[in-house]
Amino acid sequence: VSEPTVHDLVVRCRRGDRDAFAILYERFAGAVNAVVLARVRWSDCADLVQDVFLVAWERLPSVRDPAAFPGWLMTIARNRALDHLRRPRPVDEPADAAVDPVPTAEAREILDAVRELPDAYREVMLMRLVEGMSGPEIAERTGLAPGSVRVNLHRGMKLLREKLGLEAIAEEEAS
Amino acid sequence: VSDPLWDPRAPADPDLARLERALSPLRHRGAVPALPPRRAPRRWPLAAAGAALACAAALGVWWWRREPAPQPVADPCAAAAPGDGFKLEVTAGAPACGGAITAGGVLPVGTWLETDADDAARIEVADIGTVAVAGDSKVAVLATSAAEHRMSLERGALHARVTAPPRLFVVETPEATAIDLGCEYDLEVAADGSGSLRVQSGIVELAAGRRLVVVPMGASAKIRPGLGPSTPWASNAAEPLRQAIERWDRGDASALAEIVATATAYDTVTLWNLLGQVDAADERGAVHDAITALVEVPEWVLRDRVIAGDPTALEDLRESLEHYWFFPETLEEEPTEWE
Repeated sequence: VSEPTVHDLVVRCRRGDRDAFAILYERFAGAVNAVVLARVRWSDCADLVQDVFLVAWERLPSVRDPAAFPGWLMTIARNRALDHLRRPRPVDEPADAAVDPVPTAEAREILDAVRELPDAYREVMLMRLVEGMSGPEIAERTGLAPGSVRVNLHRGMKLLREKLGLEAIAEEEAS
Repeated sequence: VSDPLWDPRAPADPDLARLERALSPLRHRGAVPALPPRRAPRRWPLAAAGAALACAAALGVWWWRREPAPQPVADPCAAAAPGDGFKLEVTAGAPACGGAITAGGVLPVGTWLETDADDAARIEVADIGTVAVAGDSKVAVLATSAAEHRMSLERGALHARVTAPPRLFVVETPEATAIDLGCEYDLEVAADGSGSLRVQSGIVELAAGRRLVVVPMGASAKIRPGLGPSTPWASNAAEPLRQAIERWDRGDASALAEIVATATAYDTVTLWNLLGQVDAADERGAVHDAITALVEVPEWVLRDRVIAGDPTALEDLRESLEHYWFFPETLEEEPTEWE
């Protein structure tokens, strides 16, 4: 049995099909996590991802064109992350170190470097490095053209290597 | 040729493998949230309900009488009702609405409108203004309500002309948000998220994260991927000043003295925005003094409050400068000599 398409799942979700929404969640939660992780502290990411999907569930009936769903969902994720950054923080808010998993110093350094990349690169880089998504999967989840994803991955990796002081490899130099 | 970036199953080089290993604990692990029941439609007042019923009846008659016109890809803009989004008029070529060629209608919330080099379209933003889209552009209506009309410009260019109370019209781009304070402006976004804002009348706020700049009539600002909006500059700013602003925005603190020294009375938009970017009291004092040396500022705008970063004082100063931003020709007039 072939997997249901995003188009079919969105159509079913608009009618209130919660099982279809659960499948959409499984497919897109990683990409949403990468989009928010590109902007906010990782201790806040899990809650924000849930928040993004609750908003999506509520607003899905207004999405007329199922093909627009990936870009629409990523826009919600970016906006919720920016809203979160603008919100005042309580003084006694726990730091990242208080969460599980505890971030290693190496992970912090890499994540800081990724966050300094241009948006077009940092989101796809986190989808690849954190979520282990392939290029075609990133293209499907974001609505970007596969060619753009490939270029963004290679340019992002080249910049990341420079920031981290790693040696560049020929293929990234070529891109 | 195997490409481990494109295909994670391909053998990775040691650096890539190390990055993946270090970041893998951050992978998403949550479960689908408990979904609340969707909100029931609002109960409308009787008059509104009556009007809606009349519209529904008219729509029903139209639906019943229309010829069936099966198409391979339905045009969402042709099918949408006026309340679903913004009125769309195609002024040149054949833009795509939700992937289908459209002749216009209503651009519904959540649907992309894409134009290419030969296309142009005009969007009516509720009853508050218009947005013209042309060239290789991609826009959508994100939300529309009495409290806010929000659009997205994913790439390309738009020209907005809005007459409405401040903050009623907002355009999101991948790297910044343009918040209209009642004005006319051009917004451009490239594929990498970089872009520019040029304001023809009124004021636009350009925000990204915690960084926010104010761009009034006759001024411009850049959108820089990952860095947010640049410090704005007046359209007639001299090249050395423009270069100093670029250096300041890249983090060169020494450029501040050059900006202060080269700014003219037309550049107070740059100086005022700098007041929100400098932290040290002496730097803020230098910027304040440069402004007051160039233009007349009312005596109730107190220097020490501006230097302290008092939002009310900064707002008072801005209001006093708006006169010069909106009527720059007054800068050419001889100061009045009072008896």
